[in-house]
Amino acid sequence: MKIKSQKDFFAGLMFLAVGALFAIGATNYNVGNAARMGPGYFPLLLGILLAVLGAGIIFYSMVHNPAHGVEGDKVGSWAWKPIGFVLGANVLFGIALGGLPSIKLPSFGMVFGIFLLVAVGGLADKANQPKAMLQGFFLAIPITAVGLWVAKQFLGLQGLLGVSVFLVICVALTALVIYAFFSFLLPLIFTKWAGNATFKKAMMALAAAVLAYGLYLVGISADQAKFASSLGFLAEIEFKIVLAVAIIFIAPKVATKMGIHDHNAIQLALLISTMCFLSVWAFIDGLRLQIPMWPAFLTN
Amino acid sequence: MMDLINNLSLGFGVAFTAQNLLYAFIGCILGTLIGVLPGIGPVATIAMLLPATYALPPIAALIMLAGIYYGAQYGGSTTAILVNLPGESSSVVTCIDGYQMARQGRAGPALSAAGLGSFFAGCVGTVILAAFAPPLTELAFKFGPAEYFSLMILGLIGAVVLASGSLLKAIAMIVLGLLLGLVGTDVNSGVARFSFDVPELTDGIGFVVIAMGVFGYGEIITNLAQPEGDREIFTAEVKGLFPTLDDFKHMLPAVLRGTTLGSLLGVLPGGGALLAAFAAYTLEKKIKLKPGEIEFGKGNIRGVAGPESANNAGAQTSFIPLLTLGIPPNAVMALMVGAMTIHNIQPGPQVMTSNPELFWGLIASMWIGNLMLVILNLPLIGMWIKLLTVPYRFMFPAIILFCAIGVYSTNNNTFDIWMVAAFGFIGYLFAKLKVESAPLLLGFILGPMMEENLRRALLLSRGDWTVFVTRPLSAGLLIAALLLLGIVLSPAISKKREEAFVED
Repeated sequence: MKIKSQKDFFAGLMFLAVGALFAIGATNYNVGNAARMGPGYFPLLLGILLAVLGAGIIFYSMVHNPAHGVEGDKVGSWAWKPIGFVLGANVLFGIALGGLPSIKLPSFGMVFGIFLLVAVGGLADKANQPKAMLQGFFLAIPITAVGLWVAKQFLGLQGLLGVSVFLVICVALTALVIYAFFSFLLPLIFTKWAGNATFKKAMMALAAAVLAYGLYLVGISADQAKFASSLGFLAEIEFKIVLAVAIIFIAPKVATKMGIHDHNAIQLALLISTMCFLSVWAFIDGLRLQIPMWPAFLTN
Repeated sequence: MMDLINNLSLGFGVAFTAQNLLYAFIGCILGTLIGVLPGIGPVATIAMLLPATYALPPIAALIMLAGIYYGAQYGGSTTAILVNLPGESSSVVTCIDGYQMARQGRAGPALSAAGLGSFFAGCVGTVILAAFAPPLTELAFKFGPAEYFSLMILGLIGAVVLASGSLLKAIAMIVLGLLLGLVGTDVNSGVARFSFDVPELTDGIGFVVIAMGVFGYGEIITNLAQPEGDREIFTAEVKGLFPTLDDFKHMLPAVLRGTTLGSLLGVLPGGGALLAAFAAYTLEKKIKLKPGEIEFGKGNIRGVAGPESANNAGAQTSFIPLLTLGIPPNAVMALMVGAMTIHNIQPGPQVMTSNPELFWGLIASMWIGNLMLVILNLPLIGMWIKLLTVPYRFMFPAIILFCAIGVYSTNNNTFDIWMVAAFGFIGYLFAKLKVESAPLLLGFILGPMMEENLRRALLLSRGDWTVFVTRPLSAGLLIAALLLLGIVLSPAISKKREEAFVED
């Protein structure tokens, strides 16, 4: 007999084997009877059912080919490269987070893990060249370090300086939002008027006035310290966003100045750094997930 | 009627707090952000973003998750229209006409038709959910273990009908899922089953691990294995967003038909968004073209509006079996069950009576989520399009990273990371062997529930299996399941079914 559908045949084989294994495994536990089911009863039942279904699929694969016209409905070659790099990157990340106690490898923390994951996982796509990946890996180190350091320094600021930093950021962000709104969102809605300069200016002035008034209200309603703490959370996020955007714009220019011209490497370095910022700020600072950030032997 | 209004006002009272509105908003944004990425469906999206809700109070967490779900669906239809890549199976049919409209420079109206249609359907779906949940809950209290077991059989059979490809393989996947769900400590005897003396396995396999491994990693590997095709992305052409008056005239009846169909099909166990979308498209195609209307498959706006509203109405009403009976009708709802259990809520009829704020708050926030999506996404569409232009080779490492962090933070344990790698491979294997993964997840969630109900039913009947057919409700459910199976197996339908799935 000839196999008409290889895909179905191997799927059936898989179900048959897994079902049989589960059924055999279930006999290790107390099976009991229908009225008093033991822990092995239901798995045994399902295991047998799965094995029978598997056998049925194998039989069906001999007589029926769902892919009409395709000879044998072959499984085809395996994409070993994506499998290896994607799953390997994932495993490396796990090792970086938790270490390997069995060979006394300590935890290296999330930031190092992200470097590994992006650099190794990225190789799964052949568009990412290994050489560019390596360059990007090293280029990302200073960018990430500077970004994380600056964020930490500035957020420790208290008192008047801290408040003024917020205010500057708030104003800058307000301007950014207004600009984005008018150059980007409004044209989508009011196609007709978007090009009208007077309309644009009027709307911009209106929005600025509303926002300034809002800030003013918040400002006078509380003393400075309270103002700072109420805006603190927002300003913290805003500051980090501004910082990340600034780095993304500045870093490539600095890199070119320093003689690195590989566009690809710079892009990959930025990808790594951005992932680090995003993960540290969103998961560790924001959601406060219990993830080690730095190597265990450095933080102790 | 008075009850309905009272209940809804309680719900809106809960949902309209600043905190919950914020979470609904964040959920919508995040959901759209991930959902818009090609090749990531709602299941992977929800699994990936689930850890973001761990730190929240239960109500806020569920509201945010519902937002993520709708956001992911919206994002999926955007990708379908602009890139011709359905992010999920339910937007497969949206691709057909939506992409053609985009090619003719009418991406804006197509997106609005999808958005406005979905919003309307969402409103109707919410009202239906609010109106039918209480009576169904009362019915649910009449259910004994035998009825629950039969209901689950019906639900699983219903889910199989929707799987494309071989029916046999889909049933086998369900059984495999049920078996995987049994791994871990047996609640009755305390015996650790199939755990191979691994301490982490005595708690069972995490559903996040399976969902992310099979749906996230498996899909990434499958995407990478395919040679990159010539993807045309329509970014510059999205200009006028609003459909013309003519468009509206064609759209409106399609939206109404889609909503009706979707609401009905969504309630069925195993139904939901996918079936609704397919049925609505078939229905629209059957209705005669008006003079001057564009043919189907060439960019007819009805082909976008109908399925999109049906899929959203179905998504809404598929919450009914989950919230009233505690039985998830599809893979997304199965994830919701998992999310609820993480927050210590056992889904089922008791939720409504013991936790009315949560129940009605969730329903109200669904409507709010839909509204937010329309308000947000139509103007923000430019931003999502920008996201589509990021090359996949930069995108997928980020996706792998978020999956890995999400998996790790579920238990703060690296064991889950090894497990997700294994399931990633299994997911690719499934794709290679052409077996659908959604039934697996459904079976996985239902496994322990099914065993428990079977055990209790047989304990009460002293081991007599006929209890399932002698109790009228249970017998009715089983007959329905048999009928469903019979319909699918009948030669006429099975041929049609094969055609329907070949079409995409």
